[in-house]
Amino acid sequence: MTAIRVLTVDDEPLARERVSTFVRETEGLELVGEGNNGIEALDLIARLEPDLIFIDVEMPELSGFGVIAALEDTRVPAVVFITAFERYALKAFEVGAVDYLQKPVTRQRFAAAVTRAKERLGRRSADYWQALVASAALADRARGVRTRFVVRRANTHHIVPADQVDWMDVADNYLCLHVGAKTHLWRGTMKQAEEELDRDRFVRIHRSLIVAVDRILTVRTHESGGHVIELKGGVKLRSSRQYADRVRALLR
Amino acid sequence: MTSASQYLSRKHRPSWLYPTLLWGGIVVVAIAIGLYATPPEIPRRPGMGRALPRVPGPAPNFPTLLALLGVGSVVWYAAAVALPLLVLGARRLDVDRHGRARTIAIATVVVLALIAITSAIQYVSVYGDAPAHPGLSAYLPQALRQNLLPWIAVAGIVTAIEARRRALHAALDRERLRAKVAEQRLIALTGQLHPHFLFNTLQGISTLIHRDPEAADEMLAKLSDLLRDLLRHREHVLVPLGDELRYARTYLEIAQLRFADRLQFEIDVAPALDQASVPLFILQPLVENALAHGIGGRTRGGRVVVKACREGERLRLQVSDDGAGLTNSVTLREGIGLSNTRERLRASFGDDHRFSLDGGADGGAVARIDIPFRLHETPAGSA
Repeated sequence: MTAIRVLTVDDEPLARERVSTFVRETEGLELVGEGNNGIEALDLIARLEPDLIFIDVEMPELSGFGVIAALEDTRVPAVVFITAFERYALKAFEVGAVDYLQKPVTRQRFAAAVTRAKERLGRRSADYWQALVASAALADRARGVRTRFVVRRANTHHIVPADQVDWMDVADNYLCLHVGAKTHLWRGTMKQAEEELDRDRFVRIHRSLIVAVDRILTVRTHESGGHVIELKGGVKLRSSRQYADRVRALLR
Repeated sequence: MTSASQYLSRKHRPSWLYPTLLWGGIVVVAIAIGLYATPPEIPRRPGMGRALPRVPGPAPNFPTLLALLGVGSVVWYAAAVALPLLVLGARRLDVDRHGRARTIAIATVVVLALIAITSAIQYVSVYGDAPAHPGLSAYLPQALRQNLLPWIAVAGIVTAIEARRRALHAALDRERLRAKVAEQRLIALTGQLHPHFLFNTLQGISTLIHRDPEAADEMLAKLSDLLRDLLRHREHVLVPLGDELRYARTYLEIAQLRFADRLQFEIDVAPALDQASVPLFILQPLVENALAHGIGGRTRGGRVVVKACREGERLRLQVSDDGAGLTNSVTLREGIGLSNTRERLRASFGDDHRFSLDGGADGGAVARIDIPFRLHETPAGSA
């Protein structure tokens, strides 16, 4: 049997070292990489395709939940969350995660998590990764409104801060995030974006359009019952009649 | 148990019930006194010079109705009616704001005006239809006899009610203040040592025990210092700046160990400022914020600088980092810790403070606090 390939992620080297040491000392596990933050973790997962990751929940910018929620491939690793003190959503990640460990991590607890991970890896399915990604997204949302998007180009990941996005529209399974002259592709739906973004800052004006409120320059009524919205960069967008109420609410 | 008595059980008793009952009682008493004290006809007063006319006629008019109800005691009705208004008026009269002399003057003027008004009503109701009227100087002694005492009594009642209300309010305010102080202290303490910090430090120690026992020892000692300071200051709201800085230094030293070599810090404060008085743990959330956003998650290192200086009567505190700065919104960076800071500064200094979080000149962010400079007074009895 080949060794289980393990990735460890924590923004604090000293904290990560403890888990990495346990991995090295455990027979049947192979430490293939260590990540310093959420974005690095996504890059490493894409490049190294680990079987199992131990990931800290409380990291700045992109949390452990955020990392898992941003995974796109069907080949999602088994996940053990590590937390100093999780007050948000233990339940949410219990749905999909193999286990969670509390700091300081003890050898016994680590061994138990590895045993559970081995079991889980033996009967991994597509349902498993879907449930995991969905519950991680849910847990990440419990930490507050969405303030960033994680976008992927080849095997590197980037953070697009939500407040840099001017407007967004739909392209197949992705949303196009328009940031100035640039466009980023984010895997997600309009409904999801609308639910997760700060409602005071973003407004949905069409089945397939969301705009940042503070980028709006003018709003004109259109004969169709919708509105024509001009943004500061000169982009003109047509809102549909179904969303006219929300546009009118902006004008109040 | 009837539903009415249930309605009036302690829980449901409305706030207007007692004042209304009291007022109703006073009105009833006033009418009783009026009916009892009024002779069947308007009396002739010795020394009034002229004989008072008997109320005439078969058709009762307004003055006769008044006379039947006891016109001589019109002042009692007036007093009963005016009482709640006077109580409300007294509530607005603030001795502290208007001054004692002015308050007494206002009260005197009001009482005199009321005497004049009821005397005038009496005069009109008694002599309105009569062919002959006594002169002002002749009527004055009678007016004073009938009107002075009731109004003085009313003034006394109003004063007593108001004094009791103020005493109750003062007690309530004191209680609120005490609760507020306790709450501030709790916010200060709970904000201080995040579980995240504590357990990451413990994890760090457990790592070091195996690799570098000396370093583990050091980290454990520092964590002990931190906890000791935390426990020592449980009882305080204001502490010397020196204590705050010591806490911040220990905190940053622990963080330095946790982040390996990625963190540098500097505390630049003249020793003379150690005795300046500051709210307990006012720096801590700023340091923590700088740490989280300035260093956390970055592969290359970061730097946190704590500064304090005195400018005239102001104390300026500043915590800066060279981290990701404010490319994202300020609200994103302003976590719960910082809104607590704002609230606590307001509780300690009212509007006499400033607190800001801005982008630094070379990236990163700068948090600034500007508060009045005061020397810390060591509480009596403590060493």
